[in-house]
Amino acid sequence: MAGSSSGPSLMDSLFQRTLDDLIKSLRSATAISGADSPSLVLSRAVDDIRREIRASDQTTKAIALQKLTYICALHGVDISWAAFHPSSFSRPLSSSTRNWAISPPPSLRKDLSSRVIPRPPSPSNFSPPRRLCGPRPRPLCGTLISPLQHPTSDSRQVDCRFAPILHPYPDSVRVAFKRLVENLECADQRVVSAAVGVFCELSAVDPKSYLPLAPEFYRILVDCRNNWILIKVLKIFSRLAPLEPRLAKRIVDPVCDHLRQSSAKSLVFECIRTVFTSLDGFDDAVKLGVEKLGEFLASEDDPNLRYLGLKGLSMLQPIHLWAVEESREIVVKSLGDPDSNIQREALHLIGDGIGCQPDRDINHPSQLRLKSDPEFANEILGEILSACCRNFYELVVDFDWYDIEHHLVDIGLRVKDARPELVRVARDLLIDPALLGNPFICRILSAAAWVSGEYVELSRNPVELVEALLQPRVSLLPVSARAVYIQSVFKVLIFCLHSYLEQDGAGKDNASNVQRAHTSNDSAETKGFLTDDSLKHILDLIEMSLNPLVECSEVELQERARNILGFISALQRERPRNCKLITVMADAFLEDLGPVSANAQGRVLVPDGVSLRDDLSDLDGILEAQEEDLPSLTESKSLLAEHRRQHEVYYLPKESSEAEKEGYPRANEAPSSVGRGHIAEGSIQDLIKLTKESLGPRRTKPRPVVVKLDEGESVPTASSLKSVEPRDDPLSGVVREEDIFREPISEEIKGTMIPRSTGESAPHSDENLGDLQKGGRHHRSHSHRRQGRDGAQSRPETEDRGEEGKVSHKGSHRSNHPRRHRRKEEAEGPLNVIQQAPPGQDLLL
Amino acid sequence: MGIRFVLLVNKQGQTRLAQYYEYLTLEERRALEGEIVRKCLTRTEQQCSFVEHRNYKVVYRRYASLFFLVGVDNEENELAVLEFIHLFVETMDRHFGNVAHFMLEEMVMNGCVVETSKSNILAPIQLMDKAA
Repeated sequence: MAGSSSGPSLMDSLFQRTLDDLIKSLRSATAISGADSPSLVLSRAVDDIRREIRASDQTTKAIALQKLTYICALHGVDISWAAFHPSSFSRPLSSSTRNWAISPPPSLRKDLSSRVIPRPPSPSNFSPPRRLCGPRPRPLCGTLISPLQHPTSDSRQVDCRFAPILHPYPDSVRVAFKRLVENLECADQRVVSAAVGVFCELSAVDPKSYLPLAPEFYRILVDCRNNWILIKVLKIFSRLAPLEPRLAKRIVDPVCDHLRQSSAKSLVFECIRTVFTSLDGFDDAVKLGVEKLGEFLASEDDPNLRYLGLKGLSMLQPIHLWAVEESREIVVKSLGDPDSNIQREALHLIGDGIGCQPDRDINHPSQLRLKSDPEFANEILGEILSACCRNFYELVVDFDWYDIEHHLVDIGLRVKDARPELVRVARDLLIDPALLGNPFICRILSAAAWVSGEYVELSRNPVELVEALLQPRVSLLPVSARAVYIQSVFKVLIFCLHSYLEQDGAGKDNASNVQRAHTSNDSAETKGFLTDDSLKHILDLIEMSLNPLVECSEVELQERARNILGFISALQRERPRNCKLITVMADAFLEDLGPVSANAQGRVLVPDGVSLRDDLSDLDGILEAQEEDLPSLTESKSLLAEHRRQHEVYYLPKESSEAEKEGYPRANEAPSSVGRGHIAEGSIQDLIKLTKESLGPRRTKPRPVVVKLDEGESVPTASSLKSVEPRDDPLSGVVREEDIFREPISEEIKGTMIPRSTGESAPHSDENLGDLQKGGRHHRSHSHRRQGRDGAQSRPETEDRGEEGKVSHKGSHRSNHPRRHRRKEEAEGPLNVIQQAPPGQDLLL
Repeated sequence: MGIRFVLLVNKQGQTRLAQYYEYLTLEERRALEGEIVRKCLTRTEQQCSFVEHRNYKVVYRRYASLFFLVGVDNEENELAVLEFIHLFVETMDRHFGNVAHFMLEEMVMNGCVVETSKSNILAPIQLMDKAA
């Protein structure tokens, strides 16, 4: 009979279609419209049912009801019109009646003869019962309750059905209460189960009134073997226990027993939950719970258990942190779990715990995730930042935030999609003047500044950014952070200038160019529109803020300030070439810097003739030999030692030879003739090489510049850290000079920088004239040299001279050619090549 | 309230059985089913069977090409619910046919699991079949 007939056929009308038929026809109805469409089939079926349900034959009715139920459940057809009919069913327990009884249409739940069991309320039903119950609640409840008196097993169903009535009509509780309580003691587990279920629900609403029943529940807790009932009882107890401490004491033992002995994980979990939520004053119980939870966490093959383990731990979070501490390892490992739910839980756990005991290790697994899953990375970032925000940025241990700052930067590098969000977040961080006073957060701020500068094109309001970066309170930050700020200002400036140029070029006649986005927060487009005024404003602001830094004793700041100011003055000086200058600079910044792996250095080939040694201990030998000849060396050594003591953090650890391999660009070569060089002991300690690729992967440490201790020798130096040669060997390798700014630095700037310290600049600065270094944006390359205490100012020089002279050329060398000037003060200045990992730069690699 | 709904969904996402223990309009139900089914179907074997959705949890398990989804309150014991699903499946396994609906009726009332013995669940149904 099933099948797609185009109209009612004789067959159809003669034989009632069963539920099976209906289902089959519905499922095979595929057309959108026409005879075959599902909606048509459905409406025909409903019509059939309407007819059939009025039939006098019970079977027909029953089948019709079945179909109706099905349709209602799956297709939501309104069946309230059918409400009356099923109640006309008579009593006998025939199969068909039973049939009906089991699937009566939802709208019924009234007629409770002891045999006919109404169906539980279901969706389309909710209003009808209320409608029915409304005017006549008592009698209805009465009818509901009367079956309770009936000693059949059906009372369980009645019990359950009771609960929703009890909520709106609490009076009925009293009426039914006695019966319910009796049911608790019933021999039949099912009845007990139903009753406990009802109480479970009731106690959720009003636990106090069920306290007197505690002994009953206790009995069940101890005696019952049915896990389902036990779980429900445990739930009840978790609500009752907080109300009555003596009760808690009494139930601890049975609960722990269950915890220990049960083999049902569900029961164990429920016990744990009860213990953690309501019995957490009992240490033993908590410990036992934690132990069991550990087992959950350790289950290799069942992610469900691991997930529940983590959830369990999070229940303990606020108070019993020691438990979380113990399982820290596992939690951290869970961050790497293939299941995202588990990861999220682990992350939340860690996020909660992070305020108390930050742990660097935590961040490492999250780095793994950063690489593969941008969405999760966002979550991690969010978590980290929210942890940051807690307690008004009260941070416990400094180094932890160091890592977080790594994160911000790393995420920016790796996760393109996160960049806009990062920029937005960074802006918020930067704008807030209150944060500047907080000593712990400076690294985050410098990461934020870096991010803003690097991805300035994604920021909405560059002018605001510049203002934020230059606000007076910035002077409260430590030098490293301020250096980053200044550099970011530079980037933002370039960006603004460039966009201005572009928009100018785009349509000078275009009035819309004048649109300013001073305070616009809307679309990204508006940010491109800079008026003359806003540009002037930026430039003025920069000049005003950075001028004082020009004489600053902090070399980094000074250098960068001078860079920018020099650039600005270049702009002004070279009117006609302005545009070209800006364009060139912008191009320099255009390249996206990517992360460099820690092994990158290792992959760079060692040129022939150079033998790298890991350990510079042979330097000592040489130095010793030379010592008597070099009083200056001693002096420099002591200066160095003193400097090192004072600025310990910026030095590489002595024993670490790893640092050399880490992301340092190869210094170029040619150990040529630097002339006789003495080795400054201190300078050798830092094995830093300048990046070859100025524009390439960033994060490479800038090539250290070794300064020779020559007297009066203006030889440049060399570059790489080579083995030390005997002093008469004109090896320049000993002395290195460092490059501070790889950023493009125009000649003027160089010119300005140089004379300051040594006064011998002229010659060599000229050499660089005419080259614009398009160094990569190496803002982080702070490898500047720390000056010796008494201002042994070996000037940091920027040596880069892209050999190829190309802008975004990865291969450009910044080699210090032999003839590079190296200036240095004689006798002094051991050049400590301090390589400062700009916050977050290298450690992430 | 315990269980809020039980859904049986095939691999294509079509609902084969839907039993709700709370009131939701048809649109809400459709939307709910769509969202949840999508979330569950895209998960792999290695992931855990619990999905959090709005203010409740969905516990699901896949048997061959059929997904059994149960939506429960946040306080509910997830493992117990998983057990319940399994019980349901095994019960049906013992007695196939169109009686899945009936079985569910026997097992869950008003959102609470009331019957956990397979024989008890099947007794009335078998009776029905005998008489029919």
